Amino acid sequence: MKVAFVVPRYGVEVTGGAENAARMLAEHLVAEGVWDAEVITTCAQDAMTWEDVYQPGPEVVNGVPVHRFRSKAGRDPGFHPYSGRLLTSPSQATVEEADTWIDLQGPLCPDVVDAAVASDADVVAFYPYLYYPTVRGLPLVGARGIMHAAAHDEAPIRLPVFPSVFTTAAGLVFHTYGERALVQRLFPVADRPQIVLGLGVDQRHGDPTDARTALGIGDRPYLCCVGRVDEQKGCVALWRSFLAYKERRPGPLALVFAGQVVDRPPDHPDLIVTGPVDEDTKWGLMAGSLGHVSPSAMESFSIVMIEAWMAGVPAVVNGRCDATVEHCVRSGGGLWFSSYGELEAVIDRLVGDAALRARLAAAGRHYADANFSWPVILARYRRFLDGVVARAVGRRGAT
Amino acid sequence: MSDTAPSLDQVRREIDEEVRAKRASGALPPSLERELDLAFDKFAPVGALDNDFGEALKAADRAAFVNVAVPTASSKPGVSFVKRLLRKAMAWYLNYLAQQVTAFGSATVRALRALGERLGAIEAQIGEVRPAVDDGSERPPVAPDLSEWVELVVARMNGARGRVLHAECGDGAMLRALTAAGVDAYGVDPRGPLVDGAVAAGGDAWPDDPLAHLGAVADHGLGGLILSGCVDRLSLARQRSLVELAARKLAGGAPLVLIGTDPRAWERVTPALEADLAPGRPLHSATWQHLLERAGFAGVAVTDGRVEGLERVPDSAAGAAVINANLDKLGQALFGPATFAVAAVRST
Repeated sequence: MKVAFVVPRYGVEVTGGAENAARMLAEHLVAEGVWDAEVITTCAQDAMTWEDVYQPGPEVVNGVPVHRFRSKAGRDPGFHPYSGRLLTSPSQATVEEADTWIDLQGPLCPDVVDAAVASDADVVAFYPYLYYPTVRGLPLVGARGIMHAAAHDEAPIRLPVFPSVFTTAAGLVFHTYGERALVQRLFPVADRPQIVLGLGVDQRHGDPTDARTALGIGDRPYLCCVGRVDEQKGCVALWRSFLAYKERRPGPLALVFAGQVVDRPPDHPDLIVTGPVDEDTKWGLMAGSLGHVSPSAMESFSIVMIEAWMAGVPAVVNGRCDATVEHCVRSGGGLWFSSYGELEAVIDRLVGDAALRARLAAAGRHYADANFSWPVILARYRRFLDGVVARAVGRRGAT
Repeated sequence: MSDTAPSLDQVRREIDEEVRAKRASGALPPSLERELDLAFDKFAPVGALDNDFGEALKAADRAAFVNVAVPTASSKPGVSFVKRLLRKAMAWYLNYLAQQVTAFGSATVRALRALGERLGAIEAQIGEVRPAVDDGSERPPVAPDLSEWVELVVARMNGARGRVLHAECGDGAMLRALTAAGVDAYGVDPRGPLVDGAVAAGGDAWPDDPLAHLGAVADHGLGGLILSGCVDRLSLARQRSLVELAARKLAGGAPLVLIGTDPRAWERVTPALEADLAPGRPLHSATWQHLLERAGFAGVAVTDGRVEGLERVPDSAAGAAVINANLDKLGQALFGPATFAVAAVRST
């Protein structure tokens, strides 16, 4: 049996939630050896331009066969003004306008769609819902076509081009129950075969003492926030709130940001900004913290939060984010805030109550192990794929 | 870990109370919260505030103010000065416009708030007279025993063209029988622990409300439908909605089996908590038959369940024949069949 993943960009250099998720899943499937996997994609690396960077043609990336095709066009210069106008009221747009939006957004890659249709794979899995390859390709592969939607509650999902995409899928794969609820609220797909799979996580170990030394944290207590330091990820709001907290609660507590810096926090003795760190240091940093803070309201899953639980620390998340709050509710491993007052109370609790920290961390750890270790993820995914194949065969047999 | 440690819910409640107390005492300045919350709201998902009217109103209130103090910072030399100059020069004009827009925004938010209060009062009044919504959380997660109907259900669903939904599926026993018979079946049940059991046993089950789930199914999308459990507890209006939804969501020619409890047996066979807190009461099989026929179902047929009568005396006992005949009559009169199945086909 073989699954073909169709993604708008693919490669070890590509950083993006959905694209990374596809790559991790493909690599683990191939390594396991029960299902074959291949990837059909463009030559793009950057989702802002979709410019061809990789060479077209076949190659093997970490054991996974990858077929790359040039795009006819990347992101059109007129996309942003067009999008700005259309997305002020997306459900009022016409299907033609929405189709134009898809084409202008890019990557415009009919060769990828043709390759997906021609693929001999038993299942063709499209990632994510938003782009040309999925919108144009999914309706053409029939009962073999499934979608890893990576849906967010965002304006584009309300464009009238997407109902036919979601209802065409022979199967839907979700990151969280919240994503499933969102999709079912917007599209009549409750009867479609579906699975809330989440993402697999490879646990690693890091030494907290080494991380403290490497990052110059010393022996002060700290909270950490691992990931891109970006206003859109809630980091600006977090550091402003943390500095307000420290004005009201002076003491040694620090907040450590570790990851690529897009929006640099101000120089302040209580804010430690490390930039990108290696995996050992990251795991050591998380393991030595009082808790991991995920300030983003726009996460569709949050792998780093699962990693923090595997590292043995509790989570603090933004109450505006369905996915991370869902993790906390289902696991009992974290607390959330929807206002500064709640954030202050949550930090007070975590800093002052070691028993609560231990309890949250243990619950989170159990949840992460039971749901997101790779053997669990692969077994569940294979079973889902088997069902898709059986239905496709049944449908062919019935006609 | 201590057994006396507070649950996550309790910790959340304590945090809520602590924050409320701080706000009430003035220990949490509103200006501080407002400024920092706005920073988080800036990148909140489109629908994040939709389900909370109060929060949505707060967000509208914040957005109603039009700030004419345009940022003037710039990294290029002299540009900041020009921006400040322009801001000052245009202040008379922008202030005039901004005041009107802000006044309109504030008036709109005030009107919405008044509307919200009126709506809240109406909701409170309706809440006193309407039946409670059954969300499954107040019912013990006890799996229903549908074993006497497995044969009938499997026979009806065999050969279904499309997926078959069982609502409510309990621990998935019926799903397992259907799957074993080659039927592509899945189920929903609002009681999470039961669904977890069904999934652990290999079933395709989801912790959904049956009516909400049916509403999210594509029209004519189902190849078959089994209704049980929920049919006995829904309010009359929702029982009618269920039939209408079933008719809309089933494909033409698709089978339906409704397994209900006889109203006369309801008190006897239903746990007290579940019976007392149910928003509605079960309907007679004849009523379901009527509703299904009106909704466009054909071949509607009722099958009664078995009668659990009084224990019979051994035939060797003196007068056994007379006693047992009387026990049978008594059993029939007192108990009757506890459940029934109404089978039908969606007209093409």
